[in-house]
Amino acid sequence: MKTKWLISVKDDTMDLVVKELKEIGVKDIEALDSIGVIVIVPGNHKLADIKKIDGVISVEEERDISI
Amino acid sequence: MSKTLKKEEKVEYTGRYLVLLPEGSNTSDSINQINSISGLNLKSSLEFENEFFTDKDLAKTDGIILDKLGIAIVNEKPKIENSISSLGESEMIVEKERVVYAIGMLDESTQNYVEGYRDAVNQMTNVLVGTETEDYNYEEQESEVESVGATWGLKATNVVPTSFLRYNPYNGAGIKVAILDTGFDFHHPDFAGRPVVHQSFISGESTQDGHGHGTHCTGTACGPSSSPSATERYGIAYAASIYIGKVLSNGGSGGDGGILAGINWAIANRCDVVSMSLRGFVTGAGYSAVFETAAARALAQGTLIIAAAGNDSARPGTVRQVMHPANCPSIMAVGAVDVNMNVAAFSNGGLYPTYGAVDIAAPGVNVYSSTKLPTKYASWNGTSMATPHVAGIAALWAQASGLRGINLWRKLTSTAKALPLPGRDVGAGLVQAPTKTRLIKYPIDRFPIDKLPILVNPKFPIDPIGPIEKIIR
Repeated sequence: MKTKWLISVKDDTMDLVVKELKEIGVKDIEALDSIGVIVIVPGNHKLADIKKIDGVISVEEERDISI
Repeated sequence: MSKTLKKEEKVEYTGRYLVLLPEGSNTSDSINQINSISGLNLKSSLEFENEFFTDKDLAKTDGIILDKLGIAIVNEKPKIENSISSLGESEMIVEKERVVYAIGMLDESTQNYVEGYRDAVNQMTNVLVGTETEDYNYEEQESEVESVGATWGLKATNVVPTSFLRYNPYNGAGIKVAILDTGFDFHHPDFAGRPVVHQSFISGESTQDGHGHGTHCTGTACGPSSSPSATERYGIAYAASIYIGKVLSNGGSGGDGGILAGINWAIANRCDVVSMSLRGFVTGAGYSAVFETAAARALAQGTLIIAAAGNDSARPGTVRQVMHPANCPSIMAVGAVDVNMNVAAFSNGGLYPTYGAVDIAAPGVNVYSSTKLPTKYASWNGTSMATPHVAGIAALWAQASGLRGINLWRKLTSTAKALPLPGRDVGAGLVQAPTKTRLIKYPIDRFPIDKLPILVNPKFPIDPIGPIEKIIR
């Protein structure tokens, strides 16, 4: 399964960032409005491309978590 | 006026300055900006291993920028005086660094005065309400508390006070507690009839706990006050509203995305407390900027996130760092202690000065709680078990004080019981529940008014004039 990416965004920029992500072809997008984070399954995108989007604070690869 | 008061009134400075950088600025840009404005030559904390530096390191530079805090510590040198003032004109807040003293350090005369006051109050209390051994069969009352039965963890944290003079009227009513874990066993008899809001974030798995870990953590945080089949009381906030977010599979694993979705769900449901007995292994320095942003936003919305420090240490030889996501500054990290108030051998420690601290400690060895059927109950070890102790007690404090978010965090740490252990391992100390003092009422004919001492201050002799006669005209 492809690793997800976690994107934190600045206040009130969630919709804009989601729109940008769609425009560059990201299909699987989960917007977590309460915490201002977007979880995506990247296609052939580069991390740097996501970081360039206005409103993005940081982008990280998903980690494995356990008990 | 005592020496202590003089010390409090006079603010002392170290001679260094603290410069708060503009919001959102990054360290390298800030260094360039400060250096160009002021002519200083600052370094970044990132240039030191694990961002740890000493006073000597600081003295060798003009100053160091703390990368994770956006704050610069600038040395006082003659050439710097004018440079510092120029920073204040560039959206930077400049403060002199204060000398900080530990509170509670009393000089001898103040200590004698306070001890005398304490003894007088104790004497008066004994006369008015009686001593424990004089008017109450204390041993009998103690055994009554024992016969009700509660885990050692509930006693150590004052959820079930061991002194008859204290009691705990709080149960978490009106407080929403989210447990993000392996789910919950909805067939457990101890929770029969208890409403549980739940959501699975694990694809293909329902919220039903196929592991047992989630049911154990839920039991400690929100289990019942009594049970026909449990050997002792194990639940803390027994009237709290339970929110179960399944973010770990029945195999006990998951991913960041599910955890964040769970946190988001808990905030959307206005949960006051989120308990996360989980961890992602980290080896290098730093913490997740995404989780930190999320946790800070949660705090701002009144949701306190509490997470396990991790069980990766093998003390005394190996102490590993607090793991992800508990290493984020805005997430309360919980370490584990045993019944003898020793740090659990597995409990991780706070190894970095600016992040990844253990904030508080709780019982995490031989913790009895509910688990999935058919086992029903089990005693387990781990910071996973310590975390729901803090979450349950946070719910009690939320009910008792009305505090939320960062204020609830401060209440938990400020009321923790200090332990004679390194702060690296236990933070503020052992978490403590709110309690009240029992009001003891005497029958009026037993009120020992004749035994009250006559309080005479020798410096103020009895009035020699005597009562003034009422003049009738």
